Amino acid sequence: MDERQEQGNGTETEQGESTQPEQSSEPLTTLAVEEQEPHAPAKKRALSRRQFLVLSAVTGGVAGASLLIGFTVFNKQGQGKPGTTGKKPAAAFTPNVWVQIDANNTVTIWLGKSEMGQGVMTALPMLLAEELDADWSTVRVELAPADERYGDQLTDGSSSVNASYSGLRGAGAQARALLVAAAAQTWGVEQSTCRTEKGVVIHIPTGKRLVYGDLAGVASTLPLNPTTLASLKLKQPDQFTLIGTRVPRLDTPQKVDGSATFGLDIRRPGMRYATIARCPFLGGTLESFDSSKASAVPGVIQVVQVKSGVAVVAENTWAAIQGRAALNVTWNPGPNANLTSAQIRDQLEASVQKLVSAGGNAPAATTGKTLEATYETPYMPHAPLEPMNCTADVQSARCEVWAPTQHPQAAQQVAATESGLLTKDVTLHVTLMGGGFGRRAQTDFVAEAVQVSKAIGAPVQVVWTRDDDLKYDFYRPASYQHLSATLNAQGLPIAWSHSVAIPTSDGQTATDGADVPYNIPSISVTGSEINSAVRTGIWRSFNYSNAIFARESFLDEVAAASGLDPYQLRVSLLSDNPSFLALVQLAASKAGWGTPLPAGWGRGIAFCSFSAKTSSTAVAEVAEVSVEADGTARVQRVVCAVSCGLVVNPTIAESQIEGAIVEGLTVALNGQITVANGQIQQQNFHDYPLLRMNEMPTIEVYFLPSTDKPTGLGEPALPPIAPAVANAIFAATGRRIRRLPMQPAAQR
Amino acid sequence: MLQGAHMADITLTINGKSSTVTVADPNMPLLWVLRDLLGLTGTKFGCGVGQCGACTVHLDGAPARSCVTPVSTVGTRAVTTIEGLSSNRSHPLQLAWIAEEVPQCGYCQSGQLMAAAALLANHPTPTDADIDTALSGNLCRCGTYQRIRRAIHRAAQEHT
Repeated sequence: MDERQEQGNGTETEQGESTQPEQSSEPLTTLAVEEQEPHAPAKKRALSRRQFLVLSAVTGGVAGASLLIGFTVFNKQGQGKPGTTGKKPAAAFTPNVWVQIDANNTVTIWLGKSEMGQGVMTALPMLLAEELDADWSTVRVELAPADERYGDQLTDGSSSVNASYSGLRGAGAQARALLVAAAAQTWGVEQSTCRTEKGVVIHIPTGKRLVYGDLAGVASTLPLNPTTLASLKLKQPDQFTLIGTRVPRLDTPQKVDGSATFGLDIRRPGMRYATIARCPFLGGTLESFDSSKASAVPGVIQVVQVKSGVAVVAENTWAAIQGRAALNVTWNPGPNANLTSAQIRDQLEASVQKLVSAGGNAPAATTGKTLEATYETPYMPHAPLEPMNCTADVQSARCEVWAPTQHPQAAQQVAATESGLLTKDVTLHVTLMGGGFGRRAQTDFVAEAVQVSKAIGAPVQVVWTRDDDLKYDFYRPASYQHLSATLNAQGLPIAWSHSVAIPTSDGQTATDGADVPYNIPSISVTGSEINSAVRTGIWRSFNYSNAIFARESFLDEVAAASGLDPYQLRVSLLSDNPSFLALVQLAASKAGWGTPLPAGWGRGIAFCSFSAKTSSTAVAEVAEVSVEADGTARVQRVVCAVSCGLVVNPTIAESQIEGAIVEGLTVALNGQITVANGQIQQQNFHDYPLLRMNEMPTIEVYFLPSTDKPTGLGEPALPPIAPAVANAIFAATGRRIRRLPMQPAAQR
Repeated sequence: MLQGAHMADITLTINGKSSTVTVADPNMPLLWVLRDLLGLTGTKFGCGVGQCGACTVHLDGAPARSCVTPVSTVGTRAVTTIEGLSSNRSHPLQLAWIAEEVPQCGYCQSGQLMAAAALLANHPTPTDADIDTALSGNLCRCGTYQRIRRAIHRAAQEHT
């Protein structure tokens, strides 16, 4: 058996148990930092740990709380409390929970967010290393376990870099200041006569140098003096040497040789494998089961009932899959046995009609030409390529969990609840994950693994098959939308109404994303939500992918009805917003808007200003699409302009945009979840087809230069691609698409 | 429980080394033999039905979907997994993957690399159409296709 987990895998990231920096759990003080941003007044903040926690609770982790992440400082560096098992190398310097510098000059930075492909494993360490003036070649990163000392570890809403921008830089600046103090003490000189550069403190008058590793021992003995720390100043953007550069991703090497450890790659001594038979009917329940045939499958060890169904525990994954297939289960279909997608659609339509007839969607202007249209989108799954899974080892007094999770602290809490232990007795390791897209912010797969481990008294990896992953998701809500507009004599909209109905979904409202950035005198946006048996949840770009498809397509309808160029119409409507205007102009100019295309080709444009948590990012996209004689659309080229503040790492940023566009193309062209007989119909990638290599367009990404605080990048480029493609198809064929997906698999 | 009557020893040649595994079910796909019995977890499970390519390995140099390859059918064919593509990330494609910063989540990349390696072995300077043909069976949920294409061309140019 592979003991990779315990031995470390020889790559940059290890998740072993002795890797966390040892800290006394009692905070002595907090670190105050002057945060200086180009367009914000310098702020000085010094809150106690208690205040920090209160603030986090009140604000839900937004508006200021993020500033403080990483600022809890502990009183005795390097002194683990009695009973801790960490093996701390001699003379390691650990000024806070984020960074440790060892005598061998290694800089270890802990990642408090989840790496699911979006690049935080590199972008976040860059923030800290920048202010530390670290030698990047000495930096390694470790995935932090669930631990409140890392602040809110929920990784969603394209928020990681934005929320960590000040805190991680502050943590680096704090470490740097102590290293300078250590060097000054060693040399008997004034700190002000020293400077730092690439992992070295230099005494300016004499040119004497000490590398950080050689200072770790002395630095670890220095008091964390709040007065000194309060005077820390973060760099201005023009002083950055790492931020803004194409630093190679730290996780790339392990992802090209198979050594990266994802959730499914966890192997523990004595570990079992399990699959779970869950009720296929939405809202149905387990009636009874007969495990005799399953138990007879070679390799099957045990069959146990858990809350979500019946778990088949085996010596390997294949036996667990075969055992489940042999299981005889009777399900009670419950109240939704006849549910269909059409019924849900009709409910949504009725809900929107109610909004419209209530006057919520009546254009305020009564003169002029009026247009109206309805738009529809389906439920969407997350379908990360690594199916849901979790490994748990529940023992009498403690529980250890290895989870590919976007929400470590919630997962830890669920594990505590399911194991009957206290949160402090649950160690939750966060693994790398093969995609998240919002699915892994849920904790259902963690609960299952803990339940099974507890039931069998052994470590177990619960594996979801692809079928499970598609069938038991928390889907992006479907939508039904009605839009209307009144046009003036020039064809410009003077009134705009947008009504949206979606199935209820935690943390989202029907009107999310339907706000109108355009200069239109009268705007009405209304929403309503229906109850549905289909589980819903957060999904890359939330409800924006619904609302922006309708809004940007309908604006194209306005342009067509008025005989206006769709790009010029947006220019007119954004004339009072210079930054949005510049972005749309950048996309159009890079795309060659207005230049000739081959016969059968069309160009479409769409714009989206995406807001989540504390940041907003604007994106403009132009798609070039060719339409073949049989009506099949092929997206040939996408040009994307992005306004996201300062770009921390252009390579990672471009990858995020490319990925969002590719996912958005699956949404536009093929993707949907449908319901029949009370069951989700899709089973695998044959009926939930993702975009493939031969369908891939050329994607070009351009960023508006900025030194403002970075804003989110994971999601904003997804919503505009569907309307850009739909508008391009209209330009090529005159055919207006008001329903997604455009080319569902069943019709291909 | 395991029953002795069903057990079978199967000897495989994996990454140049001979390994004997004891399986209860000779239909067990090679994927699970690699991952669960031999600890070679670089080969990934994505769909289980040969739709996504995450489980791609080589059998005598030809790409194969290990999730639908019963272990009993492997026979004497040499199995190469991502762990055996090179001992030190030195395969031209691994170098190109790093240079082009291909991976995002990375989960599909073992399969992508194995599919690309089989392509290059037969077509040292593949066209875009060759790449489409050879790689369209490998899904990337993160959308790295453009970078994969560039990396294959880079590897072809730098090592021919």
